[in-house]
Amino acid sequence: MDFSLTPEQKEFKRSVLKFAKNELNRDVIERDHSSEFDWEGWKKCAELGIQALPIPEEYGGVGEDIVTCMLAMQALGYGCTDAGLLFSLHSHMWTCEIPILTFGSDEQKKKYLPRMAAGEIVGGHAMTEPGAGSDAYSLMSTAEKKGDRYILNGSKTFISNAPIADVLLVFALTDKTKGWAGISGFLVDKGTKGFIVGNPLHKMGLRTSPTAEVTLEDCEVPEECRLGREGAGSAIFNAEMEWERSCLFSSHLGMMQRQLDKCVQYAKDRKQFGQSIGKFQAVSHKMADMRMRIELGELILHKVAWLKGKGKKAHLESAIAKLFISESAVQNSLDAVQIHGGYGFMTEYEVERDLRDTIGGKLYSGTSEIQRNIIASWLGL
Amino acid sequence: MAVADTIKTYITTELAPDLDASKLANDQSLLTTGVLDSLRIVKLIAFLDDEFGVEVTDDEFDPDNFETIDAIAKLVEEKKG
Repeated sequence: MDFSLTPEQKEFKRSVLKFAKNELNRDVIERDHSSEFDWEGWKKCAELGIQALPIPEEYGGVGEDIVTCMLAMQALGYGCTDAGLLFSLHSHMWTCEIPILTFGSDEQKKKYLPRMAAGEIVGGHAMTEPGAGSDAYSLMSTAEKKGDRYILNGSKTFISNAPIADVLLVFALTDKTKGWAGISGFLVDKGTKGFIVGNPLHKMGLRTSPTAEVTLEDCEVPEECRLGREGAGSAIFNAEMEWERSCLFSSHLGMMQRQLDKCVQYAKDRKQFGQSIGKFQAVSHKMADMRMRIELGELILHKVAWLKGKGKKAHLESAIAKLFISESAVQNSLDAVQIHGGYGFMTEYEVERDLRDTIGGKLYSGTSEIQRNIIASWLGL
Repeated sequence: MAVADTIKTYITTELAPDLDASKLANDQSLLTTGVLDSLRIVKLIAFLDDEFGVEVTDDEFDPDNFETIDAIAKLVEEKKG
């Protein structure tokens, strides 16, 4: 098995890393405090071509493969300390661009993808409901067909990018009798009558990524807004989750490496009892474990990328990757705070924010418990 | 063994072992009866790849293609070409 990167991939990763370090870390502490999205950073990412990565050239993208996408996201995770900006990028790319690319009609692709690739419009998806979280397919929102139009009704919550999105992929039941097999996806534009975005929700972490509730009140959309066939909602959702669980958590690995480098430097510089604290095994072993988790996380993500690059499904592997990396990121962040001691607890040292930002990783894209359910089901349990 | 029979055997032994194979007709809905849920379909797709060398693409991962054993067998036959 060959894990080596091509010279082009190495250079690309280096260039993204340099860009992220230089361009995406403006006033992060302050914006985290005020929950402010970095539009300037978003536009700079678009200029570099980040949002265009997975989109083919014919739709205004650069058509990179999944390995290159993951490398870019890993580099962004290392260089950019604004995890909220990265989270919004992920929502835009994996839960809106990829579904349109995979399931969209040619008209839908032409309408949305070039502008999404250029960062001119922002996308996201709306699946979760007040009563449908881990049991995602138990949603209650409906899409009633009337002639050549659908009437959408229901409530969505925890919708990433909703306050800044120009288009959301909304999931609703077109056939209540079929349950999960009766779910369909709809591309709903901002400003559509009956499509109401609530005020931004305040969160523990990822504060610079706006989140809100969305209400659908007799929201009428033409049939052309349906993504894929009626009942294809679960297929769309599964496909986007595989991408999200792979690429989003590449950024986590980048963040974990940056965090570890910072810890190592601190452990060398910080002296207690007459020597660097890194000389104490109680400290150094923590960093050895942090390094081990990063290495194992990279390995499983490489496998996911390899499978998807071959056009194979990676449902089990992406669940394992998501579970392992999200939980490792929280543990590494706890260790980083502990290694930095009181300084790690202080906002200005930018150690504690990583912890707050990573906690959400155990919840979104399917909780840790749901990932374990998926893995257990593959064991025949 | 015919494609439909192989699929039926897998469903009734691996995915829904409580199901009586003799009572499962090839044209019976697997979705409305709860024999297949979204997770079982993912496992079934992996089986189709292993058994028949058939790779189901994301846009073919559609409930209509998994409504009945006949529908699944048709998908496999078409893809085997």
